[in-house]
Amino acid sequence: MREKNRFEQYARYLANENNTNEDKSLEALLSQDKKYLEELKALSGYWNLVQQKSNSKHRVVKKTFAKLGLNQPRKIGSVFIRYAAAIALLLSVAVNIYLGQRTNDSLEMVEAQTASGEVEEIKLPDGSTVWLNSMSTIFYPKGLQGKQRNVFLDGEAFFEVAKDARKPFIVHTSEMQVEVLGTRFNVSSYNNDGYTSASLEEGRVKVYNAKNDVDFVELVPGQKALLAEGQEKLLRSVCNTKDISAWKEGRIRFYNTSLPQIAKKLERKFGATIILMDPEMEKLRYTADFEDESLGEILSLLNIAYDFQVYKNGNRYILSTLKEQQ
Amino acid sequence: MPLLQQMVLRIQSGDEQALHDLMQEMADELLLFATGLVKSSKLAEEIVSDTFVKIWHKKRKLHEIRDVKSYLYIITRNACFNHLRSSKEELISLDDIQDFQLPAMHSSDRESFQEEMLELIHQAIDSLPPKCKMAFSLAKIQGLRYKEISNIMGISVNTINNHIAKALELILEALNEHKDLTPPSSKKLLSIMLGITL
Repeated sequence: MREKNRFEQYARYLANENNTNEDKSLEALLSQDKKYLEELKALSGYWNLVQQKSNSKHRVVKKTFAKLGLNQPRKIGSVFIRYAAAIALLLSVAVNIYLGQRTNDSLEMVEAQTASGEVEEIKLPDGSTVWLNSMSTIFYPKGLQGKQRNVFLDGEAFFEVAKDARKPFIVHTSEMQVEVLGTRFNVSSYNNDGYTSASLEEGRVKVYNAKNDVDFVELVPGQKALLAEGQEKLLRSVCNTKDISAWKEGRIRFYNTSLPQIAKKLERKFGATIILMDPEMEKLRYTADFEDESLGEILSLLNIAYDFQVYKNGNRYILSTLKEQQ
Repeated sequence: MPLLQQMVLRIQSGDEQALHDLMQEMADELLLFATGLVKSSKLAEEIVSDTFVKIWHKKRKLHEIRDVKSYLYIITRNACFNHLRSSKEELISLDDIQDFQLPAMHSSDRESFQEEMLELIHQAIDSLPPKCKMAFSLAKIQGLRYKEISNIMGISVNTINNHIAKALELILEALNEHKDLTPPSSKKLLSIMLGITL
């Protein structure tokens, strides 16, 4: 490896510009000499330091609307990202609502959202209860009017559905639809999780693949339907009914769950950023149960089972298995 | 469809919420960029707000823009250049830029040792040519892709690669110098860099 190339390689790695070939040659470089690994570690530490946020943005928004003579819209903050996701979701299922309802009334939607760390209990007009997990959005036509009870979910929610044999209750996500008459079940459809799942605690549900009407599975309690990103068919597997709604009570349960999936759940619950420094860690799997522990405590407990280091910088946690030179 | 593209489509149809969303997404990084060029946050706010005003006025033509992010940067960059030229006749380009101010980095930890080290790194980067600093800032602080930086600065991806590599080299030098002053173990060094509170 030519010496003068080294910094360009670091640069491409840090700026996320490297392709697979470059990854390989960087790996080769790093395995040559501990010095290089130390260098890259120090640099990525600096690279990941955060720029302090200012409140200038707020003033820019105000100024711009003033200059244009427009009223500033009410919604603020990062909510809009999920708002956009919700609109996309609404569009993708709009056809279904239309077919299901066949009313001429314009649809007025009721929407509820949770931030990181929040769990909200929502009563629906039909008497059903929804527990909305962190960073999730749910919306439904006002009054749940129509021939079906349609609700739209982006994120995770546990449903306790009031029985109404004539009016099925359908949870729409971008990947699957879960149809029930009255039961208790959980749907998880975070778009950064790479999978959508529906787990049944009680009763009976039918789960449809949103992209393929003839692909559906029926679940009995203790079963779950899973649709992974890039997969075309629904999978049925087992789940522990006790774990399904653990998050409602603030508990976190993992059963043979990979560290990246755990990290995403913890990020949502604690509003933090968790970075896994090396790909080896993505293979780590855990079975664990947490109740009141802080994020720091959880990470150090995970750390006991496998030896890695936890570095904290503000709200950012960096996990690394790289060994330090003594 | 990428999120920014979605917003632009909504802006095109006159959706004011979408303009708001676009500002929420982009204003911070445009402010850092403009402040780097004009070195006044007040002025930068004015310039960036004008950028969004222009977007709104041009909303019917937005479909012609392929790369929204670069476009926003270029409008902002030109407004900064306009401000920097001393007379109406004079035209300014990237080559005439005397300096680019790198935003200060902060660590959550308040150790003076750490501040000292950041200061050292900052000085090292500050000694770089303005274009090199700008490329570094756009990649590290704004998190832009090389392709986008290339659009904004009008220089090749290869040159950007060199600029950023050069900056990293200097940072590492500064780090090593510091290591000589107070010889910490590599672990300590890393913990300083990452701002650990283990």
